[in-house]
Amino acid sequence: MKGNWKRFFLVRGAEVAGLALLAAVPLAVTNPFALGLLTLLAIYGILLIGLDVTVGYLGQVNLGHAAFLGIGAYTAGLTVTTLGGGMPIALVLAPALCFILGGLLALPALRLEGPQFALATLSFSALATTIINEWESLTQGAQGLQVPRPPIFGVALDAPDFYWLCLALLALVWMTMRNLLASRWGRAFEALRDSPIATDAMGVGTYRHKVIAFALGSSLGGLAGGLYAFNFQYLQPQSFTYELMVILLLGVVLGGRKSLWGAFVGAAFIVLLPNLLSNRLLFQIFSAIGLTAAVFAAGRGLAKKTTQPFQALAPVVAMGLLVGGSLLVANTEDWRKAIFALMLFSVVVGLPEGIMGFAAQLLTRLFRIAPPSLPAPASLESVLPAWPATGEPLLELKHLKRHFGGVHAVDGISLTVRAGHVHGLIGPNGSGKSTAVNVISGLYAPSGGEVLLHGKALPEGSLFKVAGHGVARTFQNLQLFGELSAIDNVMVALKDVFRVPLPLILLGLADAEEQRARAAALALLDLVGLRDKARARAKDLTYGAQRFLEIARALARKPELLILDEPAAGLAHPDAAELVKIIRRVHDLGVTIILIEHHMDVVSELCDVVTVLDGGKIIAEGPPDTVKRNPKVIEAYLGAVVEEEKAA
Amino acid sequence: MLEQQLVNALTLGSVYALFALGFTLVFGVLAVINLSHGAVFMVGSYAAALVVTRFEAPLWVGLLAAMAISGLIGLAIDVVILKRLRARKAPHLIPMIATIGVTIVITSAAQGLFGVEVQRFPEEMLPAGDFTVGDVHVRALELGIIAVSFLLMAVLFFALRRTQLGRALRAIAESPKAASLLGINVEGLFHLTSFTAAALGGVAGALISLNFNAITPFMGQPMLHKGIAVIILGGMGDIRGALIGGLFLGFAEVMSKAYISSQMGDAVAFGLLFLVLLVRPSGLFGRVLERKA
Repeated sequence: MKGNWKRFFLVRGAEVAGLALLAAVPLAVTNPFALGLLTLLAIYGILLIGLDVTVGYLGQVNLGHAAFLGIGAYTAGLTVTTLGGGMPIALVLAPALCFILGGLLALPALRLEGPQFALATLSFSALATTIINEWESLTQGAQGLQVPRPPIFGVALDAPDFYWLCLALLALVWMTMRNLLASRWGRAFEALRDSPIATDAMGVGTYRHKVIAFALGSSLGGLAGGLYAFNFQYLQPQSFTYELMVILLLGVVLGGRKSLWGAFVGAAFIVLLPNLLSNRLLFQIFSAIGLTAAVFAAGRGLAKKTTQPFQALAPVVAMGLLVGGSLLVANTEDWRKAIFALMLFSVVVGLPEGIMGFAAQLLTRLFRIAPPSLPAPASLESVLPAWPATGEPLLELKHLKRHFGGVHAVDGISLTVRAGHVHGLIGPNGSGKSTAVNVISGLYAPSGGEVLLHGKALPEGSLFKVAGHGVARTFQNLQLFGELSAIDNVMVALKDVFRVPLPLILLGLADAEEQRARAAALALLDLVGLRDKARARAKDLTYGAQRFLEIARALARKPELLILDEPAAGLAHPDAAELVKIIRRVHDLGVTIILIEHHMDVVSELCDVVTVLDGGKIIAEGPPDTVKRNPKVIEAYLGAVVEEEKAA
Repeated sequence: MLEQQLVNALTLGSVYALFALGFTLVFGVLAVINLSHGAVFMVGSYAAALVVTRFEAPLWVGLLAAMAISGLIGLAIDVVILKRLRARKAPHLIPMIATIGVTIVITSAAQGLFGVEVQRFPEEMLPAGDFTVGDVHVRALELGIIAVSFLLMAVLFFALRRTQLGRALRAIAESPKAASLLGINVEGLFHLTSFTAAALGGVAGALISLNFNAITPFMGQPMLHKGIAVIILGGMGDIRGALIGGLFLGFAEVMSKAYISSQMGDAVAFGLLFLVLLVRPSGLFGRVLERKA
């Protein structure tokens, strides 16, 4: 627990000290230019935290954020000029409108994958800026919009006052977003990034979370836009285009994704750098420092052989060009943008984790900060309910069909899985086993027939809806949330644990619940033998451990029916033996299991009933021993050998 | 009047299609969104104008120069940047940022070299003469633009559909790994694709600047947005989709400027695009990607 306190004080202490330092600046510095830069820094901090929600946590390439800054700015400006509202109303309306538009933008894009989604956001931003530019009767178009800075509650704001307002809002955003991103919401966003399919299958709605993440991120863009309007008091449509977007994205990547500090550091870079660049001497000094740092980092990386030569040398070359350029070019103004892009670009190539990703590792080592300690695991009985093994029909398939074009992958299967059984589903490759469970679990809609659970039809074609009916599954090719830790993987899926509503989460009132969730997740990790790996990232686990983690994660759904899709595929022998033990333990708890498997020894050891598929049809069914001797089954698996034996 | 607009729309649409073809080709084969395509387009305009004005070369030489210079820049971008990112298996955000960085560098360089003033082809170098059919005036220039665009597209279609090279490219589009196992020189074809795509972008730039006779360092960005609109409309990576999408956008833009609002032409075009996205997120002709477990 001592480690926890140390961590708490260091992390919180850094935040409080940083805020206090920033807040104290106007008391000492009266230079209006410096104050203006700091105000912009606070505004961009809010903006980049919003962008980090979609780019870092949700993992979507969002090229629409600059447009939201613009929409927010014009909304706030027009609220004051046209509607005659005050600043508080404007600062509520701007994020509110962007919240709605951000959600709407996510809607059509929901079905689009990666790059297509990115282009959809880019065309949204083109649409928004075109409208702002062309709707002259409202926005004054290219002429620009003058925005006064109205007093708040009768108090006129001078420059330091406005700076403090921006800083206070940044602190508010920081606190609420920190709480949100550490909660189940943040985990859901990250799960969505790493595997949308598993997110749905674990009963966490991808649609809802994607829309909310986008709406939230965009609303922060809108809030920053509102402040931007009152800061500059003059708006032009061309301030919010593509180039700003690029700079914002570079800022997030440069600062470090998935980190509030990263967003802030990125904001500091993009606000301060261009201004440094316009002063020739300062620029020369900074590029020389940059070159020294790049040479140092490259030398270290190459000596330790941790970086590729290109990755190490790219920043050196870029910085070298900069130093050369700074000495040669008489007027840096003209080349500012190119230099700026080159500079940021080289850091992005050289430091893929961003400055804060690098600094966080360094600081953790320097101060020996331990990760927060974990609670004691909960009792397994409290996490997994005991289902009665009645032997009654639990899941029934009736003439189930699934066709892909002319291929009848599943061609009229009828079978009954009884409560408390381990039901094996075997057959040669391409016999339709995986397709059958994909239809049951809702990944595919059936082409015909019915799936009944407890005699009632299961929802069709939606992993998310089926997950709500006590059916959980693992995947043949692993679908873990790779960047999340093992314990977080399980926590994403936990059912009936999280009840604290969003507003309370934002206020940071979910600690007790989080601790209970961790205890429950640890119990499940303990069940599959991964308790000591709880903090490891899923993608760093061994292959066998990843398979076991999928089982633990599926169990977090408290399933009545668990579908295991080839859990032993690719496992080494000791791991396979461990797997049999795990499945048996789960079965003893009363969970009904459908087991797809190729390893006949695993199947005979575990299954009560085995159904054999071939060519999308059932060819045999019964206890494993009987099925193994069935000539049709032998023929399906080992056709040629039987022919030879007959001949002999 | 309508016929006149149809000719304008066809001219604009065929160049949009040409531009978008290169864009979609790179996405289809390299699985990368190359956002420097707009900058390469701008380079094509300058290349053609320079060759024609400084060296007093005929127009067709200017077009060839546009293709060659833009193509080489496209090749350089692939060799210097995209190749490294491929080797690193960088997530798709990174090549997008990298190519945007390239755009800023090229745009600033053009601004530094040529200034921000509008450059023009000398009027006497442009093909003169027009045809009159009924009430419709068609400039010889417009006919030339349409002819060149369609000729280049026909060559590309033929190459992709009917030659061994085209089959290899389509194989790579399905799976670079499998293609490489079959002995196809995948890296080489990536370079070739980047060159071809940029050459198409460059010649599109030259053709557009002939049509409007105005060249600036910033002309690439609106074109890039239109290219994106086209390939979203047509379905990403889809060659026919780029052709139909390009013509569609040309018609939508010209018609909305003529009959809805001369001021809000672009907004109407992009608004239309958004409506399409709402109804068919994968574009008019693209398939919806089926989720795979």
